[in-house]
Amino acid sequence: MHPRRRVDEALLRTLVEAQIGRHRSWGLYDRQQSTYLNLVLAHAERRAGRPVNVVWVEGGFPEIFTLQSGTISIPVFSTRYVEMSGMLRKILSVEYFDAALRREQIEFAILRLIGEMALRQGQADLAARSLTLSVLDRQHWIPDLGYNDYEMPPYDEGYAAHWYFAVLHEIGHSIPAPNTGLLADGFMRAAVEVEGLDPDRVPRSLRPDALRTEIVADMFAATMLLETTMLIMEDARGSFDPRVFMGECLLTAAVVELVERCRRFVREPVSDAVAVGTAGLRIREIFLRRQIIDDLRTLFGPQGPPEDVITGALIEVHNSYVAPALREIAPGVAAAMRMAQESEPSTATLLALLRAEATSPNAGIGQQWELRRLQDPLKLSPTRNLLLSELAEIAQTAAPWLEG
Amino acid sequence: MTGLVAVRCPADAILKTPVMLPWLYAGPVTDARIEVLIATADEDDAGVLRVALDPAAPDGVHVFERKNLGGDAPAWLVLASVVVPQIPAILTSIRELADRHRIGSVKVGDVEIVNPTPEQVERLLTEHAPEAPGG
Repeated sequence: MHPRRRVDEALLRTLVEAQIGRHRSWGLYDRQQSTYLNLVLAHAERRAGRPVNVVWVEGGFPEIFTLQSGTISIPVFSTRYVEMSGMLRKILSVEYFDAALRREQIEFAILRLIGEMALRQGQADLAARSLTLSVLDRQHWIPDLGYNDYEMPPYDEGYAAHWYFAVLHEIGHSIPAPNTGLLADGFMRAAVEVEGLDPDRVPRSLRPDALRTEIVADMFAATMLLETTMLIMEDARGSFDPRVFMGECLLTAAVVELVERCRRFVREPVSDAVAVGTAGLRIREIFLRRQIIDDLRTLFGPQGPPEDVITGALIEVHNSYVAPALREIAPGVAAAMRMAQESEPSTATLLALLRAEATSPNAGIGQQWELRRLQDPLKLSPTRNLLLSELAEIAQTAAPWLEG
Repeated sequence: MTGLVAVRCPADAILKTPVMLPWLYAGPVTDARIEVLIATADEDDAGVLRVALDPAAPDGVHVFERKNLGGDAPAWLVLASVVVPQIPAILTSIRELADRHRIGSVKVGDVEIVNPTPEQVERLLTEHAPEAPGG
């Protein structure tokens, strides 16, 4: 890149703020701090062979993305993504809920996610309706924790997968994606065909070059996650369990799929668009699983278990851990998306019900907490209508003693 | 020579004076710049905008692709620090793309329009039109 084309700080500021809004707090992540994120970034930097700078957004909207230009690649990491994906991980984890409760909780979580994403996209009506439904007439509450709560130990396979997979994926966009071997155009097209789609009539995201870029970023993330999880666990004196690692990776892929499905729903609530996006993520997951198996084989070495044993373990972990949870949440996800689109009862009616609930002497602490947590995203919204203003006013009635 | 009186004229007054050779200059002589950022969903449109902005951007035009975690629907962001007199020419290019709904957002200085209509770009164009000589 020509030296005069280097992006200066002011231009970077314009670029980032246009993407995240004029947010109260963001900056390049301080690489001098002694944190596990810096350990991960330093390791990824060594492997990628280029410097890594991460934009750290405090709060904001639940999104992680990369700004890329030639050799410049800037991952943008929002702590709100950590919080929302943390909630989804809890709902999907087997130890927390029975099927009925899991279905109910995913419904509220998806409505919340859709609501915040709609705020980001300036879709005020959809945002007001989804956010109102996410806090209305609820009996059980999983607290929407701050990201600091997810910084607590144990520093294990789940911790690393939750915090670092997405950012490692974004860093993976800075490495070359060669059109060779399993990543060649022919394989990419075949994978699309297996999904029942015509590779000549698919959106750009399913064309070989675009698909390959994402797959390479996933593969890079999987390898880096394995290596850095082991580094972190060694530092924290934990003992690494390959089966737990597999489960956490698969869980992370499921969370990414859910978040992206919500984002596509907000952008284009048409089933075809959602289906195409889901096909892309399914193809990526096949390559991700392959990479996990290859990496574990390398880790175990020639004396370790053969490939079919590792593959069998991965399938078993998926079937016993992730697949049942995904089956159980499916009706809840569908219900949330349907409710977000319905016209009856009207959003004004729902807001009236919420006001009555929130201001009643019996208002629940869970609801008060969630309303309090709604105040920030509502302030960040680039657009406003009467419904959103009403919701913001109700959120302001939440008990002030919940602050901090 | 008679009738000619030497006067002193401060440099900033000269710079504020409308140019005397309008066919030579597109606007007042100034090197002030404004940041322009345009978002589009199409890579080819980003290329068109890069070409449109390049002559007006002494430090170059930066085109960034925004990739989401899901890998679909990327956006292209065209960013440059543009010399002020060239803003109308650039907005004219943007208006043509806005007419075909090809622009996701446009930001000129502190003013940002999301999903701009040609009429909104036209208003922005009017705001940035060079002042009429003597006006």
